Amino acid sequence: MEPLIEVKDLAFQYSARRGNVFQNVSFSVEKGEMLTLLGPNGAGKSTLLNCIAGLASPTEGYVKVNGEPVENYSTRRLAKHIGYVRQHIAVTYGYTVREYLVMGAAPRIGMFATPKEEDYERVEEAIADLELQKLADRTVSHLSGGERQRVAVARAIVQNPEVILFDEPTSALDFGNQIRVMRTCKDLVERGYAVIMTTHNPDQPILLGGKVAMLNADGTLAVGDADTTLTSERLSELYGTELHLVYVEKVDRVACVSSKL
Amino acid sequence: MNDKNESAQSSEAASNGATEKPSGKAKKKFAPEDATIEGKKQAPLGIILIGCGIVVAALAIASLCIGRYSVDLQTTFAILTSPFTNADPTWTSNDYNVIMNIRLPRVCAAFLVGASLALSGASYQGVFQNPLVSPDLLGVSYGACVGAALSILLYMNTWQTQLFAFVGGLVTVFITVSIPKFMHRHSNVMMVLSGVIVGGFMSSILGLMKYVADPDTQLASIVYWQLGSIAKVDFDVLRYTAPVMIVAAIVLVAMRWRLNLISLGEEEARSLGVDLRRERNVIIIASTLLTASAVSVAGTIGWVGLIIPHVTRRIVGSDNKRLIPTVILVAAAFMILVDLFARNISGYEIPLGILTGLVGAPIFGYILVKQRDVD
Repeated sequence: MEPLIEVKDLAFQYSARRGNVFQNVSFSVEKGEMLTLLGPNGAGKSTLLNCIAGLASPTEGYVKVNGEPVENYSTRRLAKHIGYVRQHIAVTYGYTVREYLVMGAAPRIGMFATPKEEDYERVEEAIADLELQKLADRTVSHLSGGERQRVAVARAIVQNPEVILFDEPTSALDFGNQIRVMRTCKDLVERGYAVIMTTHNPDQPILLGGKVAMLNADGTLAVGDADTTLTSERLSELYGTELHLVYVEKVDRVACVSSKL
Repeated sequence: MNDKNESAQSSEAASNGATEKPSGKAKKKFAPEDATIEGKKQAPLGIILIGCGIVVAALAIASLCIGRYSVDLQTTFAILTSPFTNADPTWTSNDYNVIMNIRLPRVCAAFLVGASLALSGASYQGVFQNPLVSPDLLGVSYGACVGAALSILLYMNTWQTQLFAFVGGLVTVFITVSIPKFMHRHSNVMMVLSGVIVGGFMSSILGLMKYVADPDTQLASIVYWQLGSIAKVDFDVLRYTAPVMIVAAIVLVAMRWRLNLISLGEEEARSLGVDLRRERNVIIIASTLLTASAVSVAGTIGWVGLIIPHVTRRIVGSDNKRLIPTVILVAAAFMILVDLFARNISGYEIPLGILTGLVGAPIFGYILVKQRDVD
């Protein structure tokens, strides 16, 4: 059985002069699995997601989707397998949330066709699922960052791929919205989607569970289950500063804390 | 007649404007025509299109009747239906000539030219994710103008003029789009500046052509045609251009929803499965064909391609699925009305390009002010 996403010895560079953005990255994701890509700023996490989504071509190594190299897929066929929720959602025109959500149905709609009734029904289901009723008739460009994130997740649900990529979904959000986005990611996994999410916050893979891949400039530092792979030593090495995992009895979980400044 | 039509238009715009949404409850079954925007109920697209169609038809009939030589409504109808009925003529040969050979081609040309410019404008705005671009601002109109002027200098016929206009337009749009790419700066402003650069360059080439043109024959026709007019249009001209316009328009109408996807930007569109390169090229070529055809019929008529999509967005919203069909009819109504004015407000015929500029610039200013309020 081939993994859903397989990344092997991947490296990427914009130009030889500027060197590799990342290198020696290997991991795999099965159907319905959660994977957090954890790494400091500049580890090339977003570029890595672009390589998985077929938007950037790696200089070395390969990405396979269901056992088939990603470059063999047409953009339309790939979009049936991979959905992508971006960090910043900028919309030039005043599309309403409904108009924006139905765009998620694009991979199933021909070049000269428009969405059908069942596509609009899927939109209504996604609105109900994520409780977006209050936002449904508002224009996307008028929404706050947190609201836009939820709308983007709803669009991915309309798209209905096998795996949803999240590029730093929480980096621009306040604490409450960060928690809500992570809860949404966990929900998606429970519904059977695989989720690959990038973050630079070590608490997030602890909260999310599933697998974690720790990335630094030299490659994949460690890959495995979050509760066994994340250790104080590895986190300190990854971020170049002293970090500790401590058990917090009140919430019955481990948390990552730094030493005193 | 005019006033009536105008008030019909404005009351329609008002009725599409604001009715409060009755309740915030989620509907179980959603029909796209129930759309609301920010709590304002949207009129169903069918009703909007029928309304616009009635306005266009009324303006077209007014345009056939009204002029220095006026023909009454009954006679006009009798003449228009005469090819299909064998009724005895109740009209003079002058009446027939004015309606069938002079005004009817003009009304058809106004419809096609207005619709082509606005449709290509709306498509360019979607495909370049930039609400500030238009056939004029991208320099396409000037490029087409240079191509067409060259064909006048070379004493070419209608379809050759059209071909030259198209090549000129396509070369210009390519250069305009390449400058921001070459400079690795993809802002909206950069695209507009690039259009200004290319447009300026093309207008210098046009100046050079006028300088070398034969002052007795060619110069006048280049200048007259650069100002924009449909006074000399007959069915012979339309026979070559109308099919091209109609085919290009059908392609854009069929791809109207794709414009929504492409307008999200390159990466978003691709991750939604859009074959960006192919779809963008089809849209750019179809839009450029429309602009070039319009230019080869009527010369350069500015502002229509920029203003009409903006005005129409205020009526039907930004969704290109609704916008694109509506833009065609709104632009046609606008152009027929402008042509009616051009023929009737003074003893001389005023070039259309001058009138659209006089109307378009203030409207665009108004839109920018309103936009600022919204933002």
